[in-house]
Amino acid sequence: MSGLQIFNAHPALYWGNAGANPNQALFEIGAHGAKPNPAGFTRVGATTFDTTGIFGVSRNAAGREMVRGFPRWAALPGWRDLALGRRWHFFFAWLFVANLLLYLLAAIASGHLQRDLLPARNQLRPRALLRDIADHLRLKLPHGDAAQHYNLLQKLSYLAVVFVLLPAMVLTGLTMSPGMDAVLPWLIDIFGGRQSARTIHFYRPLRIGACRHGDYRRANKRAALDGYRKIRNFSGRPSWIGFIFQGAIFWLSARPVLAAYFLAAATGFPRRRISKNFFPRASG
Amino acid sequence: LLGAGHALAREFGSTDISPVFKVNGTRMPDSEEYAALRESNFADWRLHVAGLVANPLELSLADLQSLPQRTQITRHDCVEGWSAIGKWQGVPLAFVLARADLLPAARFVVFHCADSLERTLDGTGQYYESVDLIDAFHPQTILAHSLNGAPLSIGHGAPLRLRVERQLGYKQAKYLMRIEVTDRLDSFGRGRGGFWEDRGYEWYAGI
Repeated sequence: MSGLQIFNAHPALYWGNAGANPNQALFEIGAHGAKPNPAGFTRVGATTFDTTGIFGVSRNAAGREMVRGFPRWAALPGWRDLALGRRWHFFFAWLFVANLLLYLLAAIASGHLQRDLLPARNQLRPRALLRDIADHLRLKLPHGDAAQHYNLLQKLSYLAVVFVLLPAMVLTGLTMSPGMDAVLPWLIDIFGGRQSARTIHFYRPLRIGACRHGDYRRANKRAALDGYRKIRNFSGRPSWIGFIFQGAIFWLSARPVLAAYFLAAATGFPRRRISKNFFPRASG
Repeated sequence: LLGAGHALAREFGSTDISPVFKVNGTRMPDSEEYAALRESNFADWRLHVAGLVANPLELSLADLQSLPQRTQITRHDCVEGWSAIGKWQGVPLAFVLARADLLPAARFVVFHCADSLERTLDGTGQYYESVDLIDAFHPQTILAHSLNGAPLSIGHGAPLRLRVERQLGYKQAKYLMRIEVTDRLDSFGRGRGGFWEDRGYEWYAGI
């Protein structure tokens, strides 16, 4: 990946506006030891792991051990070339942004967003939510008609990915540009400074990867259901991997959403349905 | 592009200054000429301003310090990914260029440096950089002689370096010797407008 090539140019992550010196890093990949036999390490906070062979020290195409962050099979290009890595990165960034915009426009225009993704009022009732979570924890899968719609947790995962994680990936990317930071100074403040934004930008695809794995199983099941609507009482086999990742998504990415939910519930929710006002129809 | 011509880079407070400002690129130019200048603490150093100007200049450090000064606390973003915040003081390039009086054909300003970052036989390893006139006349584009209240250290580009605050670190040329105003960039180095540009980086380093 081109992002890992770029990361390798300075394999450390920080928090705040500035950050350049390894002793301040939250996360760092490095190497120590004498030249012929350096040892690779990965440090997360105060804990250091020996990761020789993968992170810090790995073999180049000729089989020689090299000091580098991510190994050659993970980076694009595989050899060290930041200039080329940046070109690949920006090229795919344009594709990614175009794709995301197209998806969002299509989802709104086709009604997919309003119909399938925004939570229905009755799904947002605390009791319904608790039941959804309880069912999820017991791996009790929906049957029959209920299986033909996304449940609340699925909807929230999709909304979090589409409206929070993916846009944040683009926006944190924009804040890496000192030119854009001059034009849009408020954007970098959202993320708490350039080095914070860089850390989020690095971490974001990992989260999305987790979501994708969790939802992948469900999406497949969904597609199968869409294709075989006649099959009633469908019962899928529970996926433990999907379950764990699903849990991870909620802990990592839906925290603000859940916090907002509980705040709303505590203050007299749900008297008003917000979602209707999000996308007013042209006719009315 | 999105009003980028006039937007200012963020300026920080003195509490935001990085305790250590990382030194990158050349740490010590290895030419004899530079060694001699360093010996005399840059008393003999002169900044030459030439090219498409009506009034070529030769400025000493004292001359530069007698011109109007600007102090700015800004964030330096390296293309590698790290950032450091420092307080730079110097002369806005616009004042120097106004004194030199640009000719109508002028389009770019090229900065020739004392350091060579790569050993080559044809001299293309010599560090140089260039900016267009929009960035050259931007109020935060300065020829800095001080970092955090002290004269530039050798590692940070003594006696004078460029600050173009809306672009990445490789644009901030150190060890300035000569400024050349020109209408084209293909006659310098390998023709792409800078040492790193000649090696694949973008000439516009605002991204």
